[in-house]
Amino acid sequence: MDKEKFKKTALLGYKLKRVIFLAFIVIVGFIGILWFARPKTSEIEKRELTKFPKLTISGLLDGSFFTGIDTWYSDTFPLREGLISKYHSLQSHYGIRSSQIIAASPEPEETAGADNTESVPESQTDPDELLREGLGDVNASAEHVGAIYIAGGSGYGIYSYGERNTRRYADIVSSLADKLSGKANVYSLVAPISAGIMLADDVRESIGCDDEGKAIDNIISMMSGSVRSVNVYHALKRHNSEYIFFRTDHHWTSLGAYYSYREFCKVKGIAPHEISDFKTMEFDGFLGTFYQQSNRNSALGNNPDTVTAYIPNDTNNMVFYSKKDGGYSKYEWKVIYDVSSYPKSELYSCFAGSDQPYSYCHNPNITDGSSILVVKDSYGNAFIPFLIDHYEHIHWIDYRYYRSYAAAQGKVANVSALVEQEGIKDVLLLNNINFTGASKTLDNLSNLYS
Amino acid sequence: MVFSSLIFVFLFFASNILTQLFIKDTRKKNIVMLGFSLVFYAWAGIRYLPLLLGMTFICWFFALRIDESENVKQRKLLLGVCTGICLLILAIFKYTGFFLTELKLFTGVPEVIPQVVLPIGISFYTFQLISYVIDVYRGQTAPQSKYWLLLLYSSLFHQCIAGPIVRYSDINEDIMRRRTASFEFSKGITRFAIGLAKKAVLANGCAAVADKFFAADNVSGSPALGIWLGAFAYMLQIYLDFSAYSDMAIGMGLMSGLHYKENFNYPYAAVSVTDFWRRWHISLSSFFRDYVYIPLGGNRCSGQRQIMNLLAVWFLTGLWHGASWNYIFWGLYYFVFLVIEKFIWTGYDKIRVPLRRLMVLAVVFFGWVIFRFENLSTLGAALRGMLCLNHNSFSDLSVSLEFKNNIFFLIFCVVAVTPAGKYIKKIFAGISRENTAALWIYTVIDALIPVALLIVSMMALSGNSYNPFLYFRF
Repeated sequence: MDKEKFKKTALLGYKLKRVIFLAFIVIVGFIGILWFARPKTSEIEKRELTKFPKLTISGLLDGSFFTGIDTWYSDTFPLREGLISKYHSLQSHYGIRSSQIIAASPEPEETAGADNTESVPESQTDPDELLREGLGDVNASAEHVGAIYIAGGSGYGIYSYGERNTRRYADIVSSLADKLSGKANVYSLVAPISAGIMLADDVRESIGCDDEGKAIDNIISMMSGSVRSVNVYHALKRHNSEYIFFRTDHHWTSLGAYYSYREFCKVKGIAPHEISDFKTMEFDGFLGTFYQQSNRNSALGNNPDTVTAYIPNDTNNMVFYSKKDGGYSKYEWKVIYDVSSYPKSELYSCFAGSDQPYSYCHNPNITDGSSILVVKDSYGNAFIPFLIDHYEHIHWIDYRYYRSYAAAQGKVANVSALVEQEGIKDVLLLNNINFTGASKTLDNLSNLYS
Repeated sequence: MVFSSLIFVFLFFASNILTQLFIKDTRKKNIVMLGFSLVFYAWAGIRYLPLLLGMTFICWFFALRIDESENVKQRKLLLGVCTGICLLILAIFKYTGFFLTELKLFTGVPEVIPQVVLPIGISFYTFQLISYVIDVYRGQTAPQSKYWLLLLYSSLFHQCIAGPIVRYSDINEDIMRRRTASFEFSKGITRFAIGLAKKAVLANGCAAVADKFFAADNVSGSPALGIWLGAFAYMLQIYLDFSAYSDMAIGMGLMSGLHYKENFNYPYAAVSVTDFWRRWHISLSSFFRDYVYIPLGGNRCSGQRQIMNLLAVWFLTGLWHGASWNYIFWGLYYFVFLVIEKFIWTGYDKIRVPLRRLMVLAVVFFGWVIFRFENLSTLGAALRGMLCLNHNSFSDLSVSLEFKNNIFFLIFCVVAVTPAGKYIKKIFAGISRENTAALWIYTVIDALIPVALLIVSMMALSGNSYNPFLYFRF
């Protein structure tokens, strides 16, 4: 090729490159300064994005004001969500990612077995907000875990057994049962997490997850005779080829809760309903806590869950009390609530009003005065709908939020006071196994059960 | 503000480069460039700005006095006072805490060790200013009569906080009069984009792997293979990260008509430890060569004296990297290998090149392990852990998964630290000269690559909250 021609093309190339490059940074730069296009919350990460920093003299001097601007700029960048998801699909080609162990990103609210857990934020969903925005509480951190094991498109939390805290849990439950002895039956149900049920033992061991079956046996053996223990481990293990745990979320599915409910019925001595007796509602595309905490792992993102909810036969009406404007307001709600307009990360909220401090359902088809109180974490939510058909009065409290609610209502914030006041005959304590080892949970429970 | 951030690329640099393109007059260009540089520096905290302004003033003032003076003794004195002040300031801000901690260890005083915050970039601009004053003293460069132009040199945001350590004599001409050739602008774009992607995608990705096994004080529990994998990833990270900053600086310089010298030359392809240091952070090693080693006598003195000179240089090189023993050990570690190469193992050159490369890589690898851990007990734990001496396991699932999960990425990074990319580009450039169609394809692809790299970097910078800045210590 002659030199002249080459030179000409090369020069044109330089110009082309310059134009493309400058146009690109100017256009993106322009989008970047469109302050009104900046998102304020991240639905997937369930958090408010960084706000523009407040101007202070000290912030100017030590640079924290400017660092704040940097963070604000990138955190609320208008194209952020799309860029992040593209980045995660890029990362899925970094290696063979059929199984992974990932440090969960937001600081977990309560961790497994560890004896040094952080405090639980007393933040709850304002249902009005939820309806208006179609968004969960962006401040609420998800419940769960330090690391997530991801294999075959499913996430698994990791459970560590801690002798000291486990014994404390057993003691706290026992003391409540002893205290209520003669007044109410106390049932204890420790819900296993998916790793212990779904994974083969050698895989579970290799990720450093302790044996949940043994742990539950230990908890049961440590409890006093007045506690009626419901061991659901073996029943779930028998059904582990079924869809009993979510893949992208740390909760059990309704079906998992249903098999556990059958075990409860066995201990209580009543006949359970068949699963086919229920009408259902379905919500698909669910991407739960594992997906968010794994920083949107693409193996999970490509494998969303479907939430199937079983509607109680007798009634689907309930009420709950939730924080609003500094006080608590009463909400008329549905035991199985239609969450199809909710974000895909919020679909587990369809059950029992989600995590509210106090909820209640009256079953008009039963008039024998029977009543139950469920003290629960979020694992209880999927379980409660199955109880509705068996009692006239169904009460449930979330132990993480009940105390401040009770205090605001001027009530004594403990379970025995509630039992006495409502004349409750059955008390079911339903905790997922991770929480039985978490110090903060134990502090909460010991206050509530004292 | 770090280079690898969205706000830097799309707000700060975008507006900077537009002003540089639209302003034709060099003087005005310089004024605007100075404005940008001061804002950039102040971004780390306005309280550090007076330090930069003050040190530049001192060096500006003394350089002029040195130049005026005819008296050899006086010139020497002025030089001594000026470099003394600069080094004292550097010492106060960088080494007070370290020195007092050691002092307290031996004497028990002082009771409270003051927490001095290290002003960003101080190690870089102090060295730049010292090199300027010495060059004036040596008559290698004329002094800058205008303070603000010297300030432009010392504060220039391209290299002020993470290098390279640019010599005044290298860019003086460009500062005074410059025009950007379109060929150079184009080269600068590619260089900048490569640097950004190298940092945002590759270096940060390696950092995530390294930190999985080096997190906090958890090293003693890490399985042996995990520490090896972590150190390997760290070795990749530190080169990719550091050279990426130099790439971006050189690229931005080219776009603005400023020519900085290369700071890295594929150091992991070195055939000896001496060679490694000719390829790694060249502006720093040449600084020590020109301003410490050679003035001390360099190679032109007795073997014993040479060893002492090397010792001084490598002690200082270590210390420059951070106020902590591990950096000093790291410097001395290289001193030992350099002495071995120079004086003891004289047959080294006869070994086959690939084997020599492997040996250098091994030396560098353990060097980075020393460099990584400021806390000596953690360093000890890491070294012991590599040999399973912490009662730690040899390997576990987290290690094999981490390796499998990132295997293609790590291979890519390994290739990225070699000159392979350069050769590939050369081959394509050669093919493109053969016919018009090939030339067009090459030209278009070459024009699109920088934007593609910017897009990938944007993705990484949005999605990766993990964006460490390694130079806070320097």
